[in-house]
Amino acid sequence: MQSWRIRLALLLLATAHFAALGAGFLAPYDYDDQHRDYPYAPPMRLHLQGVRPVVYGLESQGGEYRENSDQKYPLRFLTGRRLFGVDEPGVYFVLGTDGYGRDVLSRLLYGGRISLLTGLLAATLSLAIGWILGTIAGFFGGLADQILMRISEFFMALPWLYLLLAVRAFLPLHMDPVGAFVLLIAIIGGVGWVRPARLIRGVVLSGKERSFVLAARGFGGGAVYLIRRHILPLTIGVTLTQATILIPQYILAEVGLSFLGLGVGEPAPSWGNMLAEARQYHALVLHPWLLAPGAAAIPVLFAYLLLADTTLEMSQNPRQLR
Amino acid sequence: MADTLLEVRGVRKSFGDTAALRATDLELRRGAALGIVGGSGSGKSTLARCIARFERPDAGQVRIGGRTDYGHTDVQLIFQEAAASLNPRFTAEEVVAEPLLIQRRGTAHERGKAARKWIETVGLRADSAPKRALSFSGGERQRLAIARALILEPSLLILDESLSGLDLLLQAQITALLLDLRKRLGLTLILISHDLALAARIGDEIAVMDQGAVVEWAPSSDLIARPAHPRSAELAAASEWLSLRSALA
Amino acid sequence: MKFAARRLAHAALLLLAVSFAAFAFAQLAPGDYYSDLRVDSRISPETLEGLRQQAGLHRPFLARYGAWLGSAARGDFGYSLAYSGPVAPLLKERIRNTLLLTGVATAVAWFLAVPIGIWSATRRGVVEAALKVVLAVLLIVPDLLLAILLLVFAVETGWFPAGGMNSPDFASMSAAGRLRDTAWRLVLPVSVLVAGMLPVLVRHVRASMAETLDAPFVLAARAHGISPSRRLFRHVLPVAANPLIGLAGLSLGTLLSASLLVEVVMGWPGLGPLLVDAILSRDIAVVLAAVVLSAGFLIAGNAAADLALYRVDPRIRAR
Repeated sequence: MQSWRIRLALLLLATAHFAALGAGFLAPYDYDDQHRDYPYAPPMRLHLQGVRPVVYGLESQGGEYRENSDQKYPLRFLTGRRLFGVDEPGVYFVLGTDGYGRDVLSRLLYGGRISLLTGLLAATLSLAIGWILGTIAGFFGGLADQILMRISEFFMALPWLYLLLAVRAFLPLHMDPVGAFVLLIAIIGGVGWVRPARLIRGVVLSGKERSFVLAARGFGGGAVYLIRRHILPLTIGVTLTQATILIPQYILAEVGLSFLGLGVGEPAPSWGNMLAEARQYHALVLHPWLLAPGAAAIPVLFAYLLLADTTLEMSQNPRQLR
Repeated sequence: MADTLLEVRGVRKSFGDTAALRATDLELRRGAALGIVGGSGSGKSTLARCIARFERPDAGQVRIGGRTDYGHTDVQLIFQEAAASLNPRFTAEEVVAEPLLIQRRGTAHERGKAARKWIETVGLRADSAPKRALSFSGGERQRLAIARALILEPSLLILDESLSGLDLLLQAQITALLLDLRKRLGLTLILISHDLALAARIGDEIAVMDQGAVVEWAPSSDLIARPAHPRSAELAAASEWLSLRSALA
Repeated sequence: MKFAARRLAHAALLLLAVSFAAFAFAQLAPGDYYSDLRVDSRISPETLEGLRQQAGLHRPFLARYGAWLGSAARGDFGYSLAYSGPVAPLLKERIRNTLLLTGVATAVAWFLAVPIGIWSATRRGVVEAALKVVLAVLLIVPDLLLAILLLVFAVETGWFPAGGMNSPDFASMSAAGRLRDTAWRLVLPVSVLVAGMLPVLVRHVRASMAETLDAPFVLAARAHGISPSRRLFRHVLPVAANPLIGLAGLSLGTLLSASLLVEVVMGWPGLGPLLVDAILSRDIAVVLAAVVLSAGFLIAGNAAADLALYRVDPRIRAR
């Protein structure tokens, strides 16, 4: 019954990630290809010449853009290492350009790579740390548990975004894109392990009291065996649910940080720093296509929401294991 | 003494301020069946757990086969709610073979064979081995728990209230199984229960415990007919089945 | 009362620990406000060192922490090197603005969520299904995007001022005029925050109501002939309110985080923009103060929720 929701969600996610990972192939331009003659160009349409799709020439007149139907540039496929494009001096901006004349679609795809991957990798980091610490605290109890509780209280004493910014504040402001990418993953992931840890700790705590664990202990099972064979399967449900909640949250964290200028910086695109152009909202009124990253995020967030709901339902009905 | 298997000498155990077990002595011959009865808090479960190495006694010694350093092949304990002591995700074969796996005995193939053999021994079909534990009934899971306990071939099997809470038909079936296994394998059994009649059916002798010590020890029929200690008399009266029987006698 | 004392002591200790950690972390940070100035070749190293000494940046760690803590307790959060003025007055104003924004947003959100939640707990049908869809949409659209869209809307229609808390001629307005001005400017930011909070709140209210309505004591009340409205207010709501108090405490952190972003985007002069600007200009004193204060709010808010829960729920008292 819920399977159509899962399938839809997975389809959306697969499409988004495939598009982002394949940016190098799918995007018609490089992310820092500037077309000085065409700042803030609007999205361009395809026209049909017979059965072949063509793009008209783009002309700018004092800030306004017009199509020149006398200049036709046929759409070419598999040019060089790109899926599609038009020959020079023609241009094809599917979603228009930004203030520097850079193709929004291309930057959207390349930017998606950063934003989506940051979310995924940071969530993996949080879950890994959270799982390890939560399992140790829950299983061995005692001092380890006390320490975990105190530390987690401490982390939860700050509002999440303030905590993120606090950590970010004391690190170098300007970094190269790769460094910034790694840094973001480390910060976002390293700061958000607390909730998964507590949840997993809870599951492990109640799990280790179950009689089949006690029985296995009675046969001489050691901690590693018990955790691996009996406790770990119990934690899968909660870990999955946490993943579906954390990943979108972390994607938005990257977007937020980059938007504020504290994440990935120019010229590398991320959905966040692309939206930063929108801070000049007067410009936005005239050039709404700059909001494309925001629109692109929505189906991704929706997909994760669907997954979250279904994994939550599934974990509340454990007997319905397929 | 002909072939003593179990010796308990002066075993004491307290939890915090509560003395659960006060200096207790016990002796059991190989192949015998003993029922330990008592009310809640009488210390019978604590005694069982001390013997089975789930608890460490504060004082005293437990010897099995003459040794204090006995192990998992010497004694096995089956819990109350044995059915819940199976991981529902495991297959029957995995459940029964688990002790071998933990003790690293044999190859995977050998373990599987042994598991299937024991599954049959407790009265289940060998071809049900790949089914998930979840899909077995309560009584069948009870049998699986027994098979699992026996796969390490212990000399002594302790059942801690394992038959309480089963419906009477199931109780009768499992009791028959245990008696049969005892005969075939020469098992030594201890059944812990609050039900005197049940203990009497399985055990040749009965030990009555109250407030952490053994207060009476007699052959089953003697104890039921002429309970010496007030506690024993109470337990006999509390057992409906026994009251019925004596009413009919 | 013992519980209250313990809880407050716990909160105070936690805040102290956070402030210590923040201070320590700040000291570990490579460079300080003056490091970036080093790049400027017009400023000699000696001048830089002199400035540093003046700002007291050369003393040992614990001494500095102690000094900072002492001043903070008196309300003095040091000196903002970027604003060239004491931090405290800046903070006071910004905190007030953030509290105003989040306070109004919380009030509006709960004011809407409770009736909607109660209503939808007892109905099925098309309207209720449509409601679920609307709430789901609100849940999915990121705050950032919504804020930007509302700004665009404001600019396009001109109905709302786009950004800022006060009009240029604020000072010359009457009291009523000022109230109207602020209220008008609150609409957009509050809308974004409420849109973010509403789905979660409604879901919890609805769940809590549904669960309570199913409880045996409600059925008993009905069997006793108690009228529906009396049942609702005297019997159902007090019990259903219980988990919601806990929720209020938990969602405070999320609200503050959301508010940060909204303040920055919509130009609301709260704690958020202050922190962000301070980070970008390496103004450590301000960053420290803003971070510790945000923790202070959250800790205080949670403590308040715990205390309220303690008073309301006798079961906790029994423990």
